[in-house]
Amino acid sequence: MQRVPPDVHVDDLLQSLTRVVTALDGTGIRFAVAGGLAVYARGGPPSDHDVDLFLKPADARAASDALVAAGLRAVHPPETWLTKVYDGNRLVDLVFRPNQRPVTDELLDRAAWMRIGPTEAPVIAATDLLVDKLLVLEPHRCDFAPLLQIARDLREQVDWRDVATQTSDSPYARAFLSLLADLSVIDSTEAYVLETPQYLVARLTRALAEDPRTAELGVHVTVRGDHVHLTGEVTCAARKAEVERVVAEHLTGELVHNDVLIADVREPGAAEEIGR
Amino acid sequence: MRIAAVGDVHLGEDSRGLLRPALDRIAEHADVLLLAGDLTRHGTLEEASVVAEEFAGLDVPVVTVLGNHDYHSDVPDAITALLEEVGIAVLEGTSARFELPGGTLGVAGVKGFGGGFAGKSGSRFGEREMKDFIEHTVAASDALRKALLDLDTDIVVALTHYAPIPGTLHGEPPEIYPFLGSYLLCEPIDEVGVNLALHGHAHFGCEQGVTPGGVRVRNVAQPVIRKAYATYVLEP
Repeated sequence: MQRVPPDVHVDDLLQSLTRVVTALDGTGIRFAVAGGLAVYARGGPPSDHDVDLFLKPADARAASDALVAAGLRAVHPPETWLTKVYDGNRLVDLVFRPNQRPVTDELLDRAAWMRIGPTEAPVIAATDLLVDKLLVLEPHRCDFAPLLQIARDLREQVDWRDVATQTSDSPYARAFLSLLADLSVIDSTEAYVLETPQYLVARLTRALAEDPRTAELGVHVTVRGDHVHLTGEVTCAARKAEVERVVAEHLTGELVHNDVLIADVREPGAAEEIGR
Repeated sequence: MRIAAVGDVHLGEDSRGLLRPALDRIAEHADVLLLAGDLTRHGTLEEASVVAEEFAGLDVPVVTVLGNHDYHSDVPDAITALLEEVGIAVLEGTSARFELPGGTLGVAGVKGFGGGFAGKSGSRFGEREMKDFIEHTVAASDALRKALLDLDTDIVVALTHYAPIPGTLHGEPPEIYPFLGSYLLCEPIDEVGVNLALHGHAHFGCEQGVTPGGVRVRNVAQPVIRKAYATYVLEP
């Protein structure tokens, strides 16, 4: 498990958080505690090594200025999704676009006021917290061990079906949720957003017919596990590609086999003689 | 008498000129070209003008019915006018007569509609929407009968978009047969004594079938025939 580095104790982080919350109090800037301190506030392990605050992109500059006015030191990182201030040697991340998704009023509305050590602050919802944690997973960062502990500690606070839906594009998130289901941390019905194949076929068939880009009633959709097979015939190659595009917009990771044929428009061979 | 036929060409901007190479030499294969509807994808005038370009000025006369796709933008009358302007006869409860080298040909045409086939079909009963559905098919059937009765040609062909029999639907899921055609369209075909019935609409169906009265039916939807058009030779 990832533990607090020896040089920064959780109590130090909480002290920095208290300074930050006090500095932002009265500025009217909306924010919520995220990351490791949000996990801690919600009963998880005292992990991580910095203070993460979520705020809207438009408020990042003002928040940084307010914290500088309170004696913190601003640095301007090259990243386009956060800015940073330091309280002594302790880092405060002001995150406004976590995982390419801008922080919104809706996300801040879902945060709850909670006690965190000596202070009180809005803390992002456990579901949003897990979504954020899972979307961070990538080939070079897929250590499930700390996440497993967080999932166990916070499981009753999380809407897992919502987490599965919001992270369905990530194979790492799917693998982690599947692991949670196998360990009985969550129920298997909460781990997957896989649609019943019959409904998926119906939805895709309807989309192909009703989407003006396709207007196609002559393509059959067959679902086998997470494979989607398309068969039939369309007039030209551009339409075959369009069919695949429209179908892809309705899928989350299923593999599409586009076996649609292109119309054969050659001159006919022998005529059929129709007798009496 | 050589009859060329195709349906469900679904032309649009992206397929302009697609069929023309095969159509330019159609007189080598046929004396007349019959189109079984669904000439467009969305039933827009822009698509209809691609259709007009594609089938205008051929060496053989062209006659068509419209299909469900050609109604999608609610301008079937404007599409009809546009096609007739370039010499394509559009039939809807009407007929056309041609003097061909092999004799006289009469084509009675109607779009038709669904409802299902004998014993497994919808009835004019219940909700207004259900009655409207079946009444649209009944009206199409009556119009086809009237158009057929107008004809006294050597050869008579019934041209519809929807299928008059289930026999040419094999390959389609049986559950959707009621949306692919109706036995009501077949009744006048068997009553009047037609030589050949042509339809489209069922892309996954098969080409050949026969009515309860013994009339040959051919599904000429392009995905079924897999060529620019099918050709049939009939002797008066």
